[in-house]
Amino acid sequence: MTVDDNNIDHELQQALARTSAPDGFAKRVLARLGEPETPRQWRWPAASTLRRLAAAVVLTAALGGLTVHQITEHRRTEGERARREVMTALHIASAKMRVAQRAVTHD
Amino acid sequence: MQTKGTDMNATRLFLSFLLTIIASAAFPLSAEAQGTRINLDFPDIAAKASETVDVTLDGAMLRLAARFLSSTDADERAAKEMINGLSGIYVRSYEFDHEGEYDKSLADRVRTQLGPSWKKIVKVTSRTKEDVDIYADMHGDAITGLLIISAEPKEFTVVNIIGPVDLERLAGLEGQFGIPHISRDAKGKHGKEDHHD
Repeated sequence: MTVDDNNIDHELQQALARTSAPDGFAKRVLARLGEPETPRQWRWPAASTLRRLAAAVVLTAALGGLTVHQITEHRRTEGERARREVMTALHIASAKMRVAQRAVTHD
Repeated sequence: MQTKGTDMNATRLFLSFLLTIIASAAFPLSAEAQGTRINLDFPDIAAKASETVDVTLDGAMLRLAARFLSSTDADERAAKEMINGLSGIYVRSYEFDHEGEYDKSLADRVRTQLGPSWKKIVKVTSRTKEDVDIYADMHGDAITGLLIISAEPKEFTVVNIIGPVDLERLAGLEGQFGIPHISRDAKGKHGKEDHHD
């Protein structure tokens, strides 16, 4: 065994020697284990995700609004047509009734 | 237990039978109470006519129209009151350029559809002017429908109103409306003679 070999052995023994934990280490570890888990903090989604989400909301609102407008407009057109037809029908019916009424009155 | 079950089934059967009888009796009554729709399809005549008025308003369309009729305008308010309770208005009016362009038997084609509840209330016959027949669908004292057939040398008009009709009010509408005597005005517009005065 040479002098160098003796030094290496010595260094290894020093490096691998058992050392005791610092004071209070075990207590601190046990205390951390007993702590409740802190909830994960909410984070804003990424800007690109927000942009996509906003675009989807705007598109849905626009399509919905357009559909409602078209239905309302169709209903209004139908209603106006029905109103005109009622007036025409009653004009004609009334005119014919008057013809009969006049004929009966003159007799 | 079995006797009790059999009794229950018999009661259910009797109740179902009773409900069926009530339902079948009630349906024709409600249909009668609303008058009868007359078939006013004359496909052959429309092609020959120079002017056609075709109005088809069922109950739903009348209710829709009522929502669009103004309550402030006197004419529209009168019309709104008139159509209240009606379940249909059907008008076919055909105007021709020349006399004798339509088959006079068309009026008979309409009359043959009338059932026993329809009563003729007015018949106006004129050799040169217009013939007007007015029929009412009577159920007791109530009028549940109206049919007007008007045949002029150059015009044929049929009006079928379904529902309770106030004849006085209907006749009075024309004078109340902003365009009095529509028949006269319409003819004047086309340079025709006025047959009514």
